[in-house]
Formats: sequence, C-alpha cells, structure tokens
Amino acid sequence: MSTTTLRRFRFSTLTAALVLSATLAGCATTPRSPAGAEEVRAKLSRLQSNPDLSTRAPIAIKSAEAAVLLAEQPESKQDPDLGPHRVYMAEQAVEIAIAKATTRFAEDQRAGLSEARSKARLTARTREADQARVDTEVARSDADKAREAALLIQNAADQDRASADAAAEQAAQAAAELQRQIDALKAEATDRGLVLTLGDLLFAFDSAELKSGGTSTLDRLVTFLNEYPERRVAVEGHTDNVGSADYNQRLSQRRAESVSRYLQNKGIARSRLDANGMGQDVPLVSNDSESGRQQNRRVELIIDNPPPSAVAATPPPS
Amino acid sequence: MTTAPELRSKRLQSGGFTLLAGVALLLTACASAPLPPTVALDAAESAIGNAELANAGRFASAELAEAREKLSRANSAASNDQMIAAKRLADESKLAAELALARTEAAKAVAINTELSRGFDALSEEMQRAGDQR
Repeated sequence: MSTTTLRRFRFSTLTAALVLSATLAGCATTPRSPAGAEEVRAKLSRLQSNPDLSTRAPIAIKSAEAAVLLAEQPESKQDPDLGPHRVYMAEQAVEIAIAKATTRFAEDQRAGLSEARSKARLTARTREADQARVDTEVARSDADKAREAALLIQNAADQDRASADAAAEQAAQAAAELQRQIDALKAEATDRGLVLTLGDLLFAFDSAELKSGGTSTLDRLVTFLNEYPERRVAVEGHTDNVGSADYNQRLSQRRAESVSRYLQNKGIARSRLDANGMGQDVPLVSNDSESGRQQNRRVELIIDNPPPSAVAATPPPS
Repeated sequence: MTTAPELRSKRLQSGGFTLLAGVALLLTACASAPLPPTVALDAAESAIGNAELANAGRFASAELAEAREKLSRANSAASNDQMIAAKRLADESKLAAELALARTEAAKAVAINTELSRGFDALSEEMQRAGDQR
C-alpha cells in the first residue's frame, strides 16, 4: 500500500468528476436561463396569485409550473434551440392554464348568475303572486260590490213586485170597491153595461120635473161617475102606452134630458151624457096592468162598460 | 499473482469505463433521435382537429394558425431528417392547438355569461319597472 496509489486513485476520481462535469457543461455551459424564462415565470406567478383563477385549473397550473421550471434550466450551447423551445412550451402551458382557469371561473360565475337570476325570478314571481292576490282581493271586492248591486236590484225588483202586488191588491180593492159602488147604485149588470132604473116615482104625472127628495139614486150615480171619470152614461126615457106614441116620445125625451141636466148640474160633463127618449116602444113588461104600466114608465141610466183598457192586447189587423 | 496496485488499477479502469459509458449515454440524450416523431406529430394533428371542432377558427384563429404553421414546419423538418426539430415543432404545434381550444372555450364561457347577465339586467330592469308601476 503506497501513497502514490492513493494519490493516483484520488487523481483519477477527480479527473472523472471533471470529465463528468465537463460533459454536463456540454449541455449547459452557462448557468443562465434562456431569454423569456423570467417573463414566463412572472406570468405564472400572476396566475398563481390571482384569487379568481389560482384554484380553478390545478392540473393545468401544475403542468405550467413544470414547463416553467424546465424553461428556467440553463441554456445549452450545444443545443441553442432547446431553451427557446422550452420557453415557448412554458408560455403556451401558462396561457393554457390561464384560459382554462378563466373558463372555469366563468362557469362558476354562471352558476352564481343563475342563482341570482332564479332569486330575482322568485322575487318577481312573489311580487306577481302578491299582486295577483291584491288583484284577486280587488276582484273579490268588485264581485262583492256586484253582488251588492245585484242585491239592490233584487230588492228593487222585489219592491217593484211588492208594489205590483200592491197595485194588484189595489186593483182588486178597486174592483171590490166598484162592485161595492155598483151594489150601492143598485145597478144591474147587463151586456150594455150597468143599468140603473129610476122608477116613475121620481116624476110627477105628465111632468118632466124631478121630484125633490127622489134624487138620492141620482146622487149615488153622481158619486159613482166622479169615482170613475172614464165612464159615460146613456140616459133613456121610457113611457107606458097611455097616450099617443108621439107624445110619449117627446115626454120620454124631456124626462131623459131632465135627468141629464140634473147630472150636469152636479158636475158631470155633458160629453159623458147622452139623453134619448125611447117613447113607449121598449116596455119592460106588459102594459095591460097598472103595475105593469108603472114598471114601464121609467128612466134607465146605462153606464158604459169601461173602454177596452190599454192592457188588453189590440187585436191583430185582419 | 497480481499486486495490489495492479488490482486497483484494474478497478480504476473498469470505473473509468462505467463513467465513459455514462457520459456517452448523456451525450446520446443530447444527440438526435433517429426516428421521425410520429407520436408527437399525430398528437399535434389531433389537437388541431379538436380545436377546429370547437370552432377555434372563430374564437382563436391566431393560435390555430400558429399550430397549423408549426405542424407544417414539423412535417418539413421530419422529411428533412431533422428529427429533434420535428419533435419540438410538433410539441409546440400541439400546445398551440391546445391553447387555441382553451381560449375558444374561455371566450365561449365569457360570452355566455355576458349574454346571461344582459338577460339578467333586462329582467331586473323589467322587474324594477313592473315594481314602479304599482
């Protein structure tokens, strides 16, 4: 064992190390990073410190990080194209990471946007619903008003019906009253109308003058005619067959006119009165007996049936 | 019988051989690959195809054009037996195409958001108006 051997060994090891380092240096003589590597690193750092993007594309950012590390390797004199290639690759990788993170960010924002949109829609719907509720209430109150109006109309109709009923009642009462009046008149309902017969006791013999005190029947007629102003009265004078027919005719005429005059004096319009002497030609009974002749001497007051009322349907023109 | 120094020398020689082999390997790593970078070229072509499908021609036309240009240069280099250059250009083309795709997708995503928020603004405005009417 000698020191020379040891020295030689050390020397050879050193040589080998030198050779190795020289060989390695052959690929990268200068320890400088290629141009553009710094910029790529800066760009990557900006991406990594961007709170919106840094967490959104982890795989792409990792790849970019590796590419940037590679780009930062010292340049090689033997292979001058390698550095720029690596820088280019790193640049692309960082840009890809930025783009992917941006995409992801936009997608996340969209989710938020959709949420805000839904919330806004919900708010809008709620408002619409509230409005609809208000509308419904308004509509309901409108309906209530309509119902109230309908009720009012109904009430009015009821009242109308009631008044119609009342009118009918009145009419019925009027009819009853008429009947009562007619009964009071002691008139007889015939086809020609109500016939009121004044006996000959009203007149003195051979006279057309009305006896005072015998006019109570006529006064009842006046009352009736005042009650029913649309009614007209035909006054017909009749005699028995004693005396000449011509004379009897004139006498019956005068008596009829006398009654008519009396009624006019009591306020009945002349236009409502029609006085006619019928003479001896229309006897009620036979003139053979005194009692028969007495019955035949008379004045008949024929009260027209009321003209067909407006209520009655007019007959269709034939 | 060999002496101890001889033995050591032999060992040294073998160690030197190993070192030399290692150096040679390292050098080989730096040396040109003998075969055309078919895989890298195919990958670049496929990446360009993907970008085109995503309509990168509209949203990232510069990036797509760069990818195409790099691929074409890679093919030229490969046919000129510059396999290292061909491989690098193919890799660059692939990444350029991937960037074209990524930027296209980003542009689309942002455009959708813009449209959405415009619609949202319109909706808000509409609601505001509807609210004011009452």
